[in-house]
Amino acid sequence: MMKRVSDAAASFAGTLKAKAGAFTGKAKGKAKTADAEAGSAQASGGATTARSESILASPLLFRSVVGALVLMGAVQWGLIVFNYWR
Amino acid sequence: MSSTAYIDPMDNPQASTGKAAGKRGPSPMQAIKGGVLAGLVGVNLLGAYILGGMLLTERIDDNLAFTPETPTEGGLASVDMTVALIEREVNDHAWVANEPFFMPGHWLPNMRYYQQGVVYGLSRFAFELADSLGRSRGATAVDPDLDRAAGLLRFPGDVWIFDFEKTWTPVVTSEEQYLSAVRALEAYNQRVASGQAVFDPRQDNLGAALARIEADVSSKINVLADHAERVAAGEAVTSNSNEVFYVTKGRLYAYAMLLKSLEKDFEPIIQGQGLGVVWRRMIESFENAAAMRPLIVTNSPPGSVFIPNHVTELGFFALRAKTQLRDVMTVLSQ
Repeated sequence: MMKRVSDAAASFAGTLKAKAGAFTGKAKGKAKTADAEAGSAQASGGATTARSESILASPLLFRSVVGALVLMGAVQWGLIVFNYWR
Repeated sequence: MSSTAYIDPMDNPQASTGKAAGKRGPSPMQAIKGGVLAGLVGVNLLGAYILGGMLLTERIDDNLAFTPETPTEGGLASVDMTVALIEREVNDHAWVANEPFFMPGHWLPNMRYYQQGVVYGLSRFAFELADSLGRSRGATAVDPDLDRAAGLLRFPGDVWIFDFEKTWTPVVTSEEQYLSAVRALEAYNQRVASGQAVFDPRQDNLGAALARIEADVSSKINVLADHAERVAAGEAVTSNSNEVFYVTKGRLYAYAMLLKSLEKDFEPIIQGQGLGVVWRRMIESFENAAAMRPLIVTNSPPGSVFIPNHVTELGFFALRAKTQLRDVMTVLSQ
């Protein structure tokens, strides 16, 4: 019984590790693509371009950034309108 | 799962057709996404600028312990107070009544109404100074500095450096007009201190000054009452309750501060008539009105269980102040 439990745990841990590896690989691959596209741009400009391109290329990152900006804007403009109305 | 599966074909359609190599520039979808991001960043930056500016700018200064920093020795306390209040609102705090929509002050309507109320109250006093306090009835001419100050303080408070409806060139702003009035009042006070200008502290003069204040307080009470009646009748007048409230508060604050100063300028008359206690109670009523500062000006029908009606509450104190003004005026007229 104990052995079966430990086997299952090991199998689950292996799955997690494999997924984490795949995710890291994706991120690395994406970074490489972005770096390659930055080309011969200057160091700072290149880094910025790479960052913005990575935001546009990754749906998850793009949605997160858009969500954060929408939330922040809603709070800011909510406060401005509330103060104007009160 | 390979690394190529990570790139969304919608983001980079050329990659799926094998045309990515050798091509540069964003795909249409990336351009749209970039535009969305840039727009959102712009909206956030604008919001941060306006909100930050509002936090730094907003100051509805109803400090009842306010006194002029450098009173003119031998001059009039009421003129010093008028000068100090104008300088405080125009120089120390930002004058927001004339700020256009892209400046943070435009988004502070309560401060705008309050400042305009304060200056309106001071302008009425300046007119009284020119018309009666600063001259010996018909025996002397109107003092030119007081005449100038009274005119300048009646200038509208919402004139910015550009007024494109009239001219394309810069115009004289409200702040500049008010500061010119300050210089004229200072000049008059200096001349009073050196005995070169008239100040006539007679009993009837004080009565006339109070009558002018009372007339304005009555006018504002009528505005407040009209507002409250319309709300009670079910009319939706929530849009201007802030304006009604803060303009009245500003005027009553200005009068509270002026009455405190007039107590010094007319001390022999007030003490001689035994008005000391009544005068203090009258100032307290003005102070109670001026000190009201709700987080939100609510405007429910009078007698509402849960939501107050701040307009009628302010009206109560204003009415009490008017009654006490009348008491003082009755004594002065005897």
